[in-house]
Amino acid sequence: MPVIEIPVGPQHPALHEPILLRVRVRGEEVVGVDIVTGYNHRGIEWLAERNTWLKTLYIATRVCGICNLMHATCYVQALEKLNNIKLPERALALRTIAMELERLHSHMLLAAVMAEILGFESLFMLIMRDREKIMLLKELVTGNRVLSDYVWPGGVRRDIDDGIVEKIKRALDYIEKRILYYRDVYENDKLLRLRLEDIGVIKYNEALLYGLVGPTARASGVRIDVRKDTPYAWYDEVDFNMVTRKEGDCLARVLVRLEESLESIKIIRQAINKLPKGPIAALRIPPRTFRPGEAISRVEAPRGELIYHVVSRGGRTPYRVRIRTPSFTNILNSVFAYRDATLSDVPVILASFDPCISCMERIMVVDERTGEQRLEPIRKIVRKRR
Amino acid sequence: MLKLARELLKNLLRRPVTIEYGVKAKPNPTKRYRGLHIVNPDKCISCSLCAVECPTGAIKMTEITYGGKKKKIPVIDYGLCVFCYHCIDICPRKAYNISNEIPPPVFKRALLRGDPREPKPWRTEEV
Repeated sequence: MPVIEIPVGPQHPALHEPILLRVRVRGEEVVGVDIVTGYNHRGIEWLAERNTWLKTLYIATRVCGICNLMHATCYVQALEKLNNIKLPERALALRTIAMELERLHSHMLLAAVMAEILGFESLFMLIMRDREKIMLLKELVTGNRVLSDYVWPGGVRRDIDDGIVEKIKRALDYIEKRILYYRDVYENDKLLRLRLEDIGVIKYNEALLYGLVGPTARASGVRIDVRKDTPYAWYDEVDFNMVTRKEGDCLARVLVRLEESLESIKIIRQAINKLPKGPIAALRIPPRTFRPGEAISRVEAPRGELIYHVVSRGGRTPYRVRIRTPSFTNILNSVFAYRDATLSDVPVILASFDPCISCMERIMVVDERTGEQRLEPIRKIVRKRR
Repeated sequence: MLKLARELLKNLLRRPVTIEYGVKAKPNPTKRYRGLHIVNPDKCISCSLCAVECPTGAIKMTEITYGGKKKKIPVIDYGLCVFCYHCIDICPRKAYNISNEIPPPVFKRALLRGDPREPKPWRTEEV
């Protein structure tokens, strides 16, 4: 039987984001997959080098819509390292609460989108309805449903009062019940299990070899979580478990995320209960210049480890802001997960990595022999690697 | 054919199903939502910090005559504004009034302006 190439995408292959999968199939069976990206390149790092320190904060926030607070916090942490700013306890606790709310809604979004891809639209509607409660909480805490613009060097920008704390507590009680129910649905529904179980399996050593991060790696049994490894914000004060699973299939990746949402609820409850009193920022207004040097900051985004490398040579603008997003490794390095799948499984496997396309569209190649630097499209590099 | 005509007549008499967005129905954000904001010319000291630091360059310092004197105040272009509230948080005199209103639907982008000389239909609070 001849091998045919079928393009899946770039118009919304699984999620509503632009990415192209060139799927080679023999009949129904997938022989190979090429991932082509570059449809959403915006030159964020170039912009960062040409804007002031604080304007770059708003650019970093807009790298990705769903994990915008993670990007902002990661960038701000790097700046705080440069200037040695010590944060008050309350600012750290508020950051942790806001970040966990973001993780919660991101994980629920994936569970919903997964249900939609599998054709279970009523489950999609139900999860999205409950997710709206978390978006409301995020609006109460940060001031906007999605683009929070909540942190800046020195602390956070808005305080919460007892009324909001009560609202968060009440909403979390409801959300916890619902997430337990959705986990039950994913674990016990026969049709969902048929579509998800033993599909797109990534083994433990493969996840390690290809450097996968975040829930994708944790679903294969790799114990990797920045919140545990190098605690930032208030994560060393709160008690939570790292959720891992051994199966490494699509079902495990969804269940790891749902269980992590339960851990997020646990973290928010603890942070709210022992919320320290005091100022919410170390400085009244953030500094406009930062000392020369470089700083690396790591944050566990909903999709995995997010790294910002900020180089400063003094002055009004950053010299270099390098962003390494989790989706980049998770999507490009997981081509092997599509082996032995059928064509109808391809969107399911892609969605199970929770891809965030807008996160991954940057690359610069440095030739080690000549020291030459050039920008190259990601598709060329993926082709070379194979 | 008769069925079609009957349906047509019915639909002519019925009210529209769609909601007139922005006129009759609006999203209902919470009180903490970052909405339209406008400068209070009484408090503004024309330092133009907000105009310099606005991430999208939505704020322009404009010269107006206020209380018989010439004065430069920031005028906001809501079409460019991303409602990050940076201007409000860095203002040394807390001269901005804030609200939780979403930008209204308009036919011309020039109408989306935060100019304190023009009367505004929304209610604002002091920071």
